Amino acid sequence: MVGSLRRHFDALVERESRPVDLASLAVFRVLFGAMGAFGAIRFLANDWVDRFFVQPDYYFKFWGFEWVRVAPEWAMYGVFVALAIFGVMVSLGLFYRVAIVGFFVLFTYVELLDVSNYLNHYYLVSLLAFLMCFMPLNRMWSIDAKIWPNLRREAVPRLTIDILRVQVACVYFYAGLAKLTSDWLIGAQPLNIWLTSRVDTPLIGPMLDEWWVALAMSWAGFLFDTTIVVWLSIKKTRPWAYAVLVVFHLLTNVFFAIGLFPIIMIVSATVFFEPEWPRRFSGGRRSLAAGFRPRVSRGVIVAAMAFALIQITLPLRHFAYPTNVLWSEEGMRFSWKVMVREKNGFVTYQVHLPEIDKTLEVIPARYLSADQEREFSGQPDLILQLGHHIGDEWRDRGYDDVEVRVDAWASWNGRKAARLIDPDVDLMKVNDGLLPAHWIVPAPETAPARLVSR
Amino acid sequence: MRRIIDTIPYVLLVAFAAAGCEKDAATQGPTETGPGTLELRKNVLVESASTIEATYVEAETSFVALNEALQGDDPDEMRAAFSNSMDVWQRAESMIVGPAGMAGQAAGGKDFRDQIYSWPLSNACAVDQETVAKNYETAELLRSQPVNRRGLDALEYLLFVDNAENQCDPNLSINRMGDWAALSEAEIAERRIDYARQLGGLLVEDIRALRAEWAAGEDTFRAEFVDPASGDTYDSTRASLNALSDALFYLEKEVKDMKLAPPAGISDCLDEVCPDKRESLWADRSLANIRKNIEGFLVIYRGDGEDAPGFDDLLASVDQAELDQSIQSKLEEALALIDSIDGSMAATLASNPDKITNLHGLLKEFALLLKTEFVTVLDLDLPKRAEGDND
Repeated sequence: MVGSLRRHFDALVERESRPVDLASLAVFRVLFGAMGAFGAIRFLANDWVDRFFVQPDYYFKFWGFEWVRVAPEWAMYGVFVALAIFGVMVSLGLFYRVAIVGFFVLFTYVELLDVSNYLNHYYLVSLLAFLMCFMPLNRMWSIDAKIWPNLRREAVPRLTIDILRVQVACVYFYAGLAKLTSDWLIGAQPLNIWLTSRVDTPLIGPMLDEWWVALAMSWAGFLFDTTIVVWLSIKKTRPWAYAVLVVFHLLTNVFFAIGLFPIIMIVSATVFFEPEWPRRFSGGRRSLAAGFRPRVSRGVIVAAMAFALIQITLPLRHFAYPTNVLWSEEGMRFSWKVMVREKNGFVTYQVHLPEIDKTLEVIPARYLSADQEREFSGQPDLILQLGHHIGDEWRDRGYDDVEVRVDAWASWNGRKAARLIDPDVDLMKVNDGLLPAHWIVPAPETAPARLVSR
Repeated sequence: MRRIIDTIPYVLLVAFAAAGCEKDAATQGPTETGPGTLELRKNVLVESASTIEATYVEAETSFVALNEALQGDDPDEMRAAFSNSMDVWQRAESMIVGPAGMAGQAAGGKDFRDQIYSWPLSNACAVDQETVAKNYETAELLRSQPVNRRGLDALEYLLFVDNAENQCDPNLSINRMGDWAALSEAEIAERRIDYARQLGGLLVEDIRALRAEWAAGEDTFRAEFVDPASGDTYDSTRASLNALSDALFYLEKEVKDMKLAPPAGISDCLDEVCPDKRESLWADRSLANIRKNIEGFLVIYRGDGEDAPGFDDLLASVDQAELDQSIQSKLEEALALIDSIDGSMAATLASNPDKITNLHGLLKEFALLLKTEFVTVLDLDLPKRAEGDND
């Protein structure tokens, strides 16, 4: 048994050590860096630094990362300027290692500042940047390689491209798996809701309020996400699959405000191309991969396997919770559940002060920006977090026995609004954690709304 | 051949990027079964624009009458004209779209609302300071003062305050330096009426400018509102409709959370009730204001007329008539409750505070529907300043 495992492992080490052309990853580096720079500049140009990291009075903390704090205003602007510079440096391959590590650290720092800003594609950028920190992507088509000729090499171990493929495959596959729900495949929600309001889209707009169109697009989205990696992996289907992928992502860009997500995925999917594909556009010069004999240590392979294992299992953790993840949000983040639910909530806290026998209502808007309130109102752990903050504030004012309850309702995929959190539970007596949250009310069992255009 | 196939994705990329940049110039006609969703949405915008303009025309008429009354000598006539103006403006409070909104926050915002009525920034002490400083002597100088020294809220104080005291802290300069004490009661009364007369003129200017933005024509805000493709303010019909929906949230944020909860002792009040936190401290017309706010909401929500298109029709068009009924019934109940109250909010808070608490409760139930099911089924965004990312 042990011997068999060892043989398999040795074969894996041998396979992942084989040289492959660096050309595709060099192009990936150029595009990724450009995207990163563009994203940071876009944030600055839209004045989103102020809106998301200066104006709010309160920031939601990630579990385990409560120590991450927002920097002063000037420093936050500096972070985004630095991100733009690092992005350009990554793209050009200038002091690449410093640039990609700097980009990863600062980008991840920004993402950890406020849970209500969490987006799946930001998480993906962090993961890709993390992986790129360990990759010698500046050995080709870079300024580094011009400055230091000894650095030049046109091949990398196969592991370099395979780990990126695993990462991107996880995104698509789990985004597809998240659509394997009756709401999505039978109820056509939330697409039915979203498309009905996009009737002024050029050309196809008049059809979008038809329920069958939403159903057809739901199935198309499900099939696309769950199978696209397969089609991209097969040489014969790859060009067509990529064309479909581009159309799919650009259509989502037309319909929804999803920022850089489409372009990130269009760029990321290039990792499934033949490693030497860019050479077709650069004069067809032969790859020098053949003359390169890299060695990948067993430790690196083990680390890569651990990373892959985390990426494969993390999105499945919601199965450990008894509630529907799209309702309770337990296991929702870091699991590629992209655009699969429409949820709007209504939250009012009830602060009871036994010392003076008074109950006060506290509205979240007192603490949160409009953006934060919109995101938090459907996410129980964030509602709990703000409840604790409110209670702590009253404790600081000298009310030691403060009790905080919440009137939290949500409409999920057009269903009638239902209670999200048990209104009798004193939030000051419960803590967030990995165990199932007994204070979250089970998801409504009714069917989602079906908007039938009349 | 292989090269051609490999190039296809890039050609598509460019083509679709170009399509994505295209402005929504396309317009669609009705479907075979009646007004299509897009046509109905556009009809709601056109109807709402007419309603908003009509409300501003009505406000202009009442402000002109108010200004005329202010130039006379009859305090009762002035107060009656003020009440008429406030009745109209409180309806308009539920219609803050485009130029009426805050510059830099609302799309097309030009701050007209705050110029006309700056509550909750109202500050009687600031008005007293202005009374001493006499910055009201010229319209230009008065217009350069902060918004809470102008508008209907300042006017309410000037017309309804019934004594010659000021509302400032003893440490503020008008008291500390003896400026206020140096004025006789008659002089204070004279200054207040002069100040009020100047305010009347500014109000007429402001409402005329605001009405002009909503007048029919190619170069007005209204043109962009009803046809987003004709300008840069909104990028789609959905965005225009969202701006209108944002205005409807006045009943949640301003009315429920600010006009009702604090005075009823529900929030921001450690006593049983806090009548000093009501909206209309001087004319004591807080309940009348709330009634008009609800009326303003309903005329936009239902459309102005039996068959006029409104959000109720949008809900019905997607088979959500039950939700529409729930929303309307909560507001009808609220109106009935207000009508059942005999007396002002201050008096009710003293004699029967549960009525105000119940009114808050009804608006809370209404807000729950608005913030959850309503925005979900119509795919509207909750009020916010600008578009962000999502996934």
